[in-house]
Amino acid sequence: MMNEKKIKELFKAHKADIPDDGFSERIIRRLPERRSILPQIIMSGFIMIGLILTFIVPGFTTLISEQISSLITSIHHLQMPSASSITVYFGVLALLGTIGYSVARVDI
Amino acid sequence: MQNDALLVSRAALLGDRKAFSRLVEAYQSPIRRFLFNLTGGDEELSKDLAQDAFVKAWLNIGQFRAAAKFSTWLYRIAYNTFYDYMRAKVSTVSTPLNGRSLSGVEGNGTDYKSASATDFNIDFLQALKILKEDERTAMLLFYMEDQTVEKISKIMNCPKNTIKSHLHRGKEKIATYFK
Repeated sequence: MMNEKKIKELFKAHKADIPDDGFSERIIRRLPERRSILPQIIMSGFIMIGLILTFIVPGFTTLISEQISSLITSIHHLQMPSASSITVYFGVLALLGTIGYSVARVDI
Repeated sequence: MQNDALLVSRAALLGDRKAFSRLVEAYQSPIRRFLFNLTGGDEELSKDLAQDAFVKAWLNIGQFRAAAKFSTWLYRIAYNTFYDYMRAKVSTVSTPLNGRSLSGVEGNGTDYKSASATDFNIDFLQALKILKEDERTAMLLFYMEDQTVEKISKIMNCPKNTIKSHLHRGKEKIATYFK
Protein backbone atom coordinates (compact mmCIF):
# COMPACT_ATOMS: atom_id res chain seq x y z
CA MET A 1 0.00 0.00 0.00
CA MET A 2 1.26 3.48 -0.95
CA ASN A 3 2.31 5.57 1.97
CA GLU A 4 1.95 9.33 2.42
CA LYS A 5 5.42 10.01 1.04
CA LYS A 6 4.81 8.00 -2.13
CA ILE A 7 1.51 9.74 -2.75
CA LYS A 8 3.17 13.15 -2.36
CA GLU A 9 5.89 12.07 -4.79
CA LEU A 10 3.29 10.86 -7.26
CA PHE A 11 1.46 14.19 -7.29
CA LYS A 12 4.67 16.21 -7.39
CA ALA A 13 5.87 14.17 -10.37
CA HIS A 14 2.80 15.38 -12.29
CA LYS A 15 3.02 18.98 -11.20
CA ALA A 16 3.94 20.67 -14.48
CA ASP A 17 4.30 24.38 -15.04
CA ILE A 18 2.02 25.51 -17.83
CA PRO A 19 3.52 28.12 -20.17
CA ASP A 20 1.46 31.25 -20.69
CA ASP A 21 1.56 31.20 -24.52
CA GLY A 22 -0.57 34.33 -24.78
CA PHE A 23 -3.23 33.08 -22.36
CA SER A 24 -2.95 36.14 -20.08
CA GLU A 25 -3.12 38.49 -23.03
CA ARG A 26 -6.30 36.85 -24.29
CA ILE A 27 -7.85 37.14 -20.84
CA ILE A 28 -7.08 40.87 -20.60
CA ARG A 29 -8.55 41.48 -24.05
CA ARG A 30 -11.70 39.64 -22.99
CA LEU A 31 -12.21 41.54 -19.74
CA PRO A 32 -15.40 43.59 -19.62
CA GLU A 33 -15.29 47.24 -18.57
CA ARG A 34 -15.19 47.89 -14.88
CA ARG A 35 -15.66 51.31 -13.45
CA SER A 36 -13.27 52.42 -10.79
CA ILE A 37 -14.93 53.08 -7.46
CA LEU A 38 -12.29 55.56 -6.32
CA PRO A 39 -13.96 58.71 -7.75
CA GLN A 40 -17.17 57.85 -5.86
CA ILE A 41 -15.24 57.33 -2.65
CA ILE A 42 -13.41 60.63 -2.99
CA MET A 43 -16.52 62.56 -3.97
CA SER A 44 -18.59 61.08 -1.14
CA GLY A 45 -15.82 61.87 1.31
CA PHE A 46 -15.59 65.51 0.32
CA ILE A 47 -19.37 65.92 0.33
CA MET A 48 -19.47 64.58 3.87
CA ILE A 49 -16.69 66.96 4.91
CA GLY A 50 -18.51 69.83 3.26
CA LEU A 51 -21.78 69.03 5.01
CA ILE A 52 -20.07 68.66 8.37
CA LEU A 53 -18.25 71.98 7.93
CA THR A 54 -21.53 73.61 6.96
CA PHE A 55 -23.06 72.77 10.29
CA ILE A 56 -20.07 73.25 12.58
CA VAL A 57 -18.71 76.55 11.22
CA PRO A 58 -20.31 79.18 13.47
CA GLY A 59 -22.91 81.31 11.78
CA PHE A 60 -22.66 79.53 8.46
CA THR A 61 -26.11 77.98 8.61
CA THR A 62 -27.54 81.36 9.64
CA LEU A 63 -25.82 82.99 6.69
CA ILE A 64 -27.21 80.37 4.28
CA SER A 65 -30.77 80.62 5.62
CA GLU A 66 -30.68 84.46 5.57
CA GLN A 67 -29.46 84.51 2.00
CA ILE A 68 -32.07 81.99 0.87
CA SER A 69 -34.80 84.04 2.63
CA SER A 70 -33.52 87.20 0.98
CA LEU A 71 -33.60 85.46 -2.41
CA ILE A 72 -37.17 84.26 -1.94
CA THR A 73 -38.29 87.70 -0.70
CA SER A 74 -36.68 89.42 -3.71
CA ILE A 75 -38.35 87.08 -6.15
CA HIS A 76 -41.68 87.51 -4.35
CA HIS A 77 -41.42 91.28 -4.74
CA LEU A 78 -40.18 90.96 -8.29
CA GLN A 79 -36.87 92.53 -7.33
CA MET A 80 -33.39 91.60 -8.43
CA PRO A 81 -31.81 89.46 -5.70
CA SER A 82 -28.43 90.38 -4.26
CA ALA A 83 -25.27 88.83 -5.67
CA SER A 84 -24.61 86.95 -2.45
CA SER A 85 -28.11 85.42 -2.50
CA ILE A 86 -27.64 84.25 -6.09
CA THR A 87 -24.23 82.82 -5.23
CA VAL A 88 -25.64 80.87 -2.29
CA TYR A 89 -28.54 79.66 -4.44
CA PHE A 90 -26.26 78.31 -7.16
CA GLY A 91 -23.92 76.89 -4.54
CA VAL A 92 -26.77 74.87 -3.03
CA LEU A 93 -27.85 73.76 -6.52
CA ALA A 94 -24.29 72.66 -7.32
CA LEU A 95 -24.08 70.70 -4.08
CA LEU A 96 -27.40 68.95 -4.72
CA GLY A 97 -26.36 68.26 -8.31
CA THR A 98 -23.05 66.74 -7.19
CA ILE A 99 -24.77 64.52 -4.64
CA GLY A 100 -27.30 63.42 -7.26
CA TYR A 101 -24.60 62.69 -9.83
CA SER A 102 -22.59 60.75 -7.27
CA VAL A 103 -25.55 58.63 -6.26
CA ALA A 104 -26.49 58.01 -9.89
CA ARG A 105 -22.94 56.85 -10.73
CA VAL A 106 -22.76 54.29 -7.93
CA ASP A 107 -23.37 50.69 -9.00
CA ILE A 108 -26.10 49.15 -6.91
CA MET B 1 3.11 36.96 -3.86
CA GLN B 2 4.35 39.89 -1.80
CA ASN B 3 2.72 42.54 -3.92
CA ASP B 4 -0.56 40.69 -4.48
CA ALA B 5 -2.33 43.08 -2.13
CA LEU B 6 -1.05 46.09 -4.05
CA LEU B 7 -2.02 44.65 -7.43
CA VAL B 8 -5.47 43.68 -6.16
CA SER B 9 -6.00 47.18 -4.72
CA ARG B 10 -5.06 48.79 -8.01
CA ALA B 11 -7.33 46.47 -9.96
CA ALA B 12 -10.25 46.92 -7.55
CA LEU B 13 -10.06 50.67 -6.88
CA LEU B 14 -8.70 51.95 -10.17
CA GLY B 15 -9.81 49.26 -12.61
CA ASP B 16 -6.13 48.84 -13.48
CA ARG B 17 -5.96 46.13 -16.17
CA LYS B 18 -2.17 46.05 -16.13
CA ALA B 19 -2.20 45.20 -12.44
CA PHE B 20 -4.75 42.46 -13.05
CA SER B 21 -2.70 41.19 -15.97
CA ARG B 22 0.23 40.63 -13.63
CA LEU B 23 -2.00 38.64 -11.32
CA VAL B 24 -3.20 36.52 -14.23
CA GLU B 25 0.39 35.86 -15.35
CA ALA B 26 1.33 34.79 -11.83
CA TYR B 27 -1.60 32.44 -11.28
CA GLN B 28 -2.52 31.15 -14.74
CA SER B 29 -0.27 28.09 -14.44
CA PRO B 30 -1.52 26.71 -11.10
CA ILE B 31 -5.16 27.47 -11.92
CA ARG B 32 -4.98 25.86 -15.37
CA ARG B 33 -3.13 22.86 -13.97
CA PHE B 34 -5.72 22.46 -11.21
CA LEU B 35 -8.58 22.59 -13.71
CA PHE B 36 -6.74 20.32 -16.18
CA ASN B 37 -6.48 17.60 -13.55
CA LEU B 38 -10.01 18.21 -12.27
CA THR B 39 -11.42 17.73 -15.77
CA GLY B 40 -9.52 14.50 -16.26
CA GLY B 41 -7.01 15.92 -18.69
CA ASP B 42 -9.34 17.92 -20.96
CA GLU B 43 -7.00 20.72 -22.10
CA GLU B 44 -9.51 22.81 -24.03
CA LEU B 45 -12.16 22.57 -21.36
CA SER B 46 -9.71 23.45 -18.60
CA LYS B 47 -8.52 26.45 -20.61
CA ASP B 48 -12.10 27.67 -21.10
CA LEU B 49 -12.92 27.19 -17.43
CA ALA B 50 -9.73 29.02 -16.43
CA GLN B 51 -10.67 31.93 -18.68
CA ASP B 52 -14.15 32.09 -17.11
CA ALA B 53 -12.60 31.96 -13.64
CA PHE B 54 -10.29 34.89 -14.31
CA VAL B 55 -13.08 36.97 -15.83
CA LYS B 56 -15.21 36.28 -12.74
CA ALA B 57 -12.27 37.27 -10.54
CA TRP B 58 -12.01 40.57 -12.43
CA LEU B 59 -15.72 41.30 -12.08
CA ASN B 60 -15.77 40.48 -8.37
CA ILE B 61 -12.37 41.72 -7.31
CA GLY B 62 -13.98 44.48 -5.28
CA GLN B 63 -15.37 41.78 -2.99
CA PHE B 64 -11.98 40.27 -2.20
CA ARG B 65 -11.14 40.68 1.47
CA ALA B 66 -7.46 40.99 2.28
CA ALA B 67 -7.94 38.72 5.30
CA ALA B 68 -7.67 35.75 2.94
CA LYS B 69 -4.84 35.08 0.50
CA PHE B 70 -5.58 36.03 -3.07
CA SER B 71 -4.58 32.55 -4.29
CA THR B 72 -7.12 30.93 -1.95
CA TRP B 73 -9.83 33.23 -3.28
CA LEU B 74 -8.82 32.48 -6.87
CA TYR B 75 -8.83 28.71 -6.33
CA ARG B 76 -12.31 29.06 -4.84
CA ILE B 77 -13.53 30.85 -7.96
CA ALA B 78 -11.90 28.23 -10.19
CA TYR B 79 -13.45 25.40 -8.18
CA ASN B 80 -16.90 27.02 -8.27
CA THR B 81 -16.56 27.58 -12.02
CA PHE B 82 -15.78 23.89 -12.51
CA TYR B 83 -18.58 22.87 -10.15
CA ASP B 84 -21.12 25.07 -11.96
CA TYR B 85 -20.01 23.60 -15.28
CA MET B 86 -20.46 20.05 -14.01
CA ARG B 87 -23.94 20.81 -12.65
CA ALA B 88 -24.93 22.39 -15.93
CA LYS B 89 -23.80 19.45 -18.00
CA VAL B 90 -26.56 17.11 -19.10
CA SER B 91 -24.34 14.08 -19.20
CA THR B 92 -21.23 13.19 -17.15
CA VAL B 93 -17.79 14.48 -18.18
CA SER B 94 -16.54 12.35 -21.05
CA THR B 95 -13.37 10.40 -20.62
CA PRO B 96 -10.69 12.20 -22.63
CA LEU B 97 -8.42 9.17 -22.84
CA ASN B 98 -7.96 9.52 -26.56
CA GLY B 99 -4.43 10.86 -26.75
CA ARG B 100 -5.69 14.03 -28.42
CA SER B 101 -6.82 15.61 -25.17
CA LEU B 102 -4.14 14.11 -22.96
CA SER B 103 -1.38 16.59 -23.69
CA GLY B 104 1.48 15.07 -21.73
CA VAL B 105 1.47 16.41 -18.21
CA GLU B 106 4.72 14.66 -17.59
CA GLY B 107 6.21 16.23 -14.54
CA ASN B 108 8.20 19.28 -13.56
CA GLY B 109 9.44 21.35 -16.43
CA THR B 110 7.75 19.26 -19.11
CA ASP B 111 5.96 21.07 -21.92
CA TYR B 112 2.22 21.09 -21.15
CA LYS B 113 1.40 20.92 -24.84
CA SER B 114 3.59 17.89 -25.57
CA ALA B 115 1.90 15.80 -28.20
CA SER B 116 2.40 12.42 -26.57
CA ALA B 117 0.71 11.10 -23.46
CA THR B 118 2.74 8.50 -21.64
CA ASP B 119 1.24 5.55 -19.87
CA PHE B 120 2.41 7.14 -16.64
CA ASN B 121 0.28 10.21 -17.29
CA ILE B 122 -2.74 8.22 -18.40
CA ASP B 123 -2.40 6.13 -15.26
CA PHE B 124 -2.32 9.22 -13.07
CA LEU B 125 -5.33 10.83 -14.72
CA GLN B 126 -7.16 7.49 -14.66
CA ALA B 127 -6.36 7.18 -10.97
CA LEU B 128 -7.84 10.62 -10.38
CA LYS B 129 -10.99 9.56 -12.21
CA ILE B 130 -11.75 6.82 -9.72
CA LEU B 131 -12.06 9.46 -7.03
CA LYS B 132 -15.26 11.30 -6.35
CA GLU B 133 -15.25 14.94 -7.40
CA ASP B 134 -14.74 16.24 -3.86
CA GLU B 135 -12.01 13.69 -3.14
CA ARG B 136 -10.21 14.58 -6.38
CA THR B 137 -10.44 18.29 -5.61
CA ALA B 138 -9.13 17.88 -2.07
CA MET B 139 -6.28 15.59 -3.18
CA LEU B 140 -5.18 17.94 -5.96
CA LEU B 141 -5.28 21.00 -3.75
CA PHE B 142 -3.43 19.29 -0.92
CA TYR B 143 -0.80 17.19 -2.70
CA MET B 144 -0.26 19.12 -5.91
CA GLU B 145 -1.15 22.73 -5.17
CA ASP B 146 0.27 22.66 -1.61
CA GLN B 147 -2.80 24.12 0.07
CA THR B 148 -3.43 23.49 3.75
CA VAL B 149 -6.54 21.75 5.05
CA GLU B 150 -7.78 25.09 6.38
CA LYS B 151 -7.43 26.78 3.00
CA ILE B 152 -9.00 23.84 1.21
CA SER B 153 -12.00 24.05 3.53
CA LYS B 154 -12.42 27.72 2.49
CA ILE B 155 -11.96 26.88 -1.18
CA MET B 156 -14.49 24.06 -1.11
CA ASN B 157 -16.67 25.72 1.52
CA CYS B 158 -16.91 22.69 3.76
CA PRO B 159 -15.68 21.82 7.26
CA LYS B 160 -12.07 20.79 7.88
CA ASN B 161 -13.12 17.36 9.11
CA THR B 162 -14.93 16.77 5.83
CA ILE B 163 -11.77 17.72 3.93
CA LYS B 164 -9.76 15.31 6.06
CA SER B 165 -12.26 12.56 5.25
CA HIS B 166 -11.96 13.30 1.54
CA LEU B 167 -8.16 13.14 1.79
CA HIS B 168 -8.25 9.92 3.76
CA ARG B 169 -10.56 8.19 1.28
CA GLY B 170 -8.69 9.68 -1.67
CA LYS B 171 -5.38 8.33 -0.41
CA GLU B 172 -6.84 4.87 0.12
CA LYS B 173 -8.29 4.74 -3.38
CA ILE B 174 -5.09 6.00 -5.05
CA ALA B 175 -2.99 3.56 -3.04
CA THR B 176 -5.30 0.70 -4.01
CA TYR B 177 -5.18 1.71 -7.69
CA PHE B 178 -1.40 1.68 -7.82
CA LYS B 179 -1.03 -1.51 -5.76
